[in-house]
Amino acid sequence: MKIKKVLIANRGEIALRVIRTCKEMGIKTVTLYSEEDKNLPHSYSADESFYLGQGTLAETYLNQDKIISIAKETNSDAIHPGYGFLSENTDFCKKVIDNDIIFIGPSVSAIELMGDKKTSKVKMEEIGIPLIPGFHGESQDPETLKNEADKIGYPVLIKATAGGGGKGMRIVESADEFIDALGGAKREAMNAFSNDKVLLEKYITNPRHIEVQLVSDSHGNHLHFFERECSIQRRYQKVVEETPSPALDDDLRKRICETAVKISKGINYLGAGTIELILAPDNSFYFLEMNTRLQVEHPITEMVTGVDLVELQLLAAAGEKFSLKQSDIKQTGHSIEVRIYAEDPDNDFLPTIGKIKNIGFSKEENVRLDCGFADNTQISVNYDPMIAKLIVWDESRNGALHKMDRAIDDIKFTGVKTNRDYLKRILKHPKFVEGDVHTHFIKDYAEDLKKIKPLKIVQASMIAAALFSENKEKKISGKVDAWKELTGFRNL
Amino acid sequence: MEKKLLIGENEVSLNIIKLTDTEVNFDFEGEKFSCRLLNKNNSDYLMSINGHSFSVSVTNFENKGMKQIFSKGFEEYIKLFPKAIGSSSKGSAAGSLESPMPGKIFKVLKKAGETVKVGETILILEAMKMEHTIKATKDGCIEEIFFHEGEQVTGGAVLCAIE
Repeated sequence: MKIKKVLIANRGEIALRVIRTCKEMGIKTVTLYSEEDKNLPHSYSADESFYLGQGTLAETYLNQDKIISIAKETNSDAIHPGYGFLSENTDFCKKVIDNDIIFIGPSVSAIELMGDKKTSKVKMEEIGIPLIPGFHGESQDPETLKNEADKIGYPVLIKATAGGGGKGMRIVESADEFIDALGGAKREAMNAFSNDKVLLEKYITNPRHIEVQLVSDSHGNHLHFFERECSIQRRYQKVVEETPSPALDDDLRKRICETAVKISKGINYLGAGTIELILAPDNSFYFLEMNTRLQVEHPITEMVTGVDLVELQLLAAAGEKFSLKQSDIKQTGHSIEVRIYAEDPDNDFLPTIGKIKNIGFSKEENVRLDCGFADNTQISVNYDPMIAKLIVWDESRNGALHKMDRAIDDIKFTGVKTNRDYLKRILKHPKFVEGDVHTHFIKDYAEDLKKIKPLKIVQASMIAAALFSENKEKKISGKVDAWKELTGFRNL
Repeated sequence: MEKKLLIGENEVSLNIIKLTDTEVNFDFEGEKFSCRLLNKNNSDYLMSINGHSFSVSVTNFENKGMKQIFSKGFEEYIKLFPKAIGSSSKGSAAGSLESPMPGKIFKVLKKAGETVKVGETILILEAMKMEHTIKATKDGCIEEIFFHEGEQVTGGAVLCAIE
């Protein structure tokens, strides 16, 4: 079935991303926008746009019935859910299909299976995918638990099943510490949650977060598009992503990617998906979860493989057979993405708001800015603080690092406090430069990542500019002739 | 002329020797800087400081008086205090309230545009682990409050203006 019109059930940069590919494929687009988003580019960049009014997310971008009625009204053949919002919502997916509209994504059963931590792990065990060794059994007898811990191998993590916030949690380094640590964890868990049941898991020191991009068609083609290294995270949100991962050699890469393909085959997956894995320093890797949608960080994969993942999503959803073969897909060069958040990294990453005066642009080649905002648009508190993704490609990792540093300088987002400066500090950290990263990077190197004071002469240049600009403002406020203030005009 | 300003969280004191449309000379942390403005293009200032060239971008930030400044790949937030220290005694008489000591704005109880009576608390300053209430010195209408809750202030900084 051919897709002629797509309704995009999302906002911001991802809505614009889907519009771009649809335009290239000659597919018409429909977007939705809320009252707060009425000045944002996604509200006017599609062929048709629908106003969702003012209200909560549930009344606007998550209003399933309204979205489906708009799709029917506009004769859209398909709905692209983007990421977040309704992208992994099985109720919505079912409703879409029941209304004879194509859901651009996997089947309901795949979302259900992989969306549940328990069922997905059972399934992974069944098809032979490595899971983090652990004990999740009923028995709470200290001797039984200790035997299980010995089997897992130290260090072992004791975790309260009702846990959260680090309470009832202990890292046990060796067998002789186990019984004491168990007692401590149980007492803490009892006090905090009135439930002292614990589980055991192998504790991985300095784990990396590696993921593999997959896309499958409905004709048995299950392709991978290599890995992404996403270890730099804060509060479980990714901040910097890159591909290839500096941690993988050809052999490990092959094993990891083949494991991911084994999963998509094993569950007969359709469309774009991502397998998230934990990679231990000894190169053992374990399944973490599968994201059954397009990822925020998909552009770096597009930069190194040259494929358009949204195009493949659309082809797969339309039931077409990929002409692309696994052997056609190559990793060339190196790509890095940074997520620009409206937040203050030097103040506990608190979200910031404001009006973007000037986003800026890079004049260099192979720099991509995926951004849902335009100059003079407002950032509100009601949506995700991620305001843009800046992506670069270069032949080498080193080249990409330098290019990113320059690109961040060019793209200033004036008018709003963002994490730009902080991103530069991460990119310049010696451990990051070496490619030696893990998921606790931001926490472990918090001290190194503190704000750097510029040289005194640079500070002086800032002070001088502030004084000049204030001087000028005073003049303008009590000014006579506006035309005299303008420079750069000439008669032609 | 002495001028105080905030660079990020740090309070800095300058001694401005000369300030014109195109030239500023000042002492900053024991060093002399002489700056000449060579060109201005929208928000970008091209200048020469002690013989070195800088292109500096200035954006007035949402907070009153806060400027977002970019230079040599660094991003900073600078706030110039509205009045030069030394000429501040006139301030109170004219309806300005000053911070009695350096501290942090703990709470702002009034908004610009509100009317106040003598003795009404406008804001609370936290300094040396104690709270200091800043009260209206005359009846009138609050013209402007120059700081937000949580902001650092210098001793003598003008906190608000009453008309």
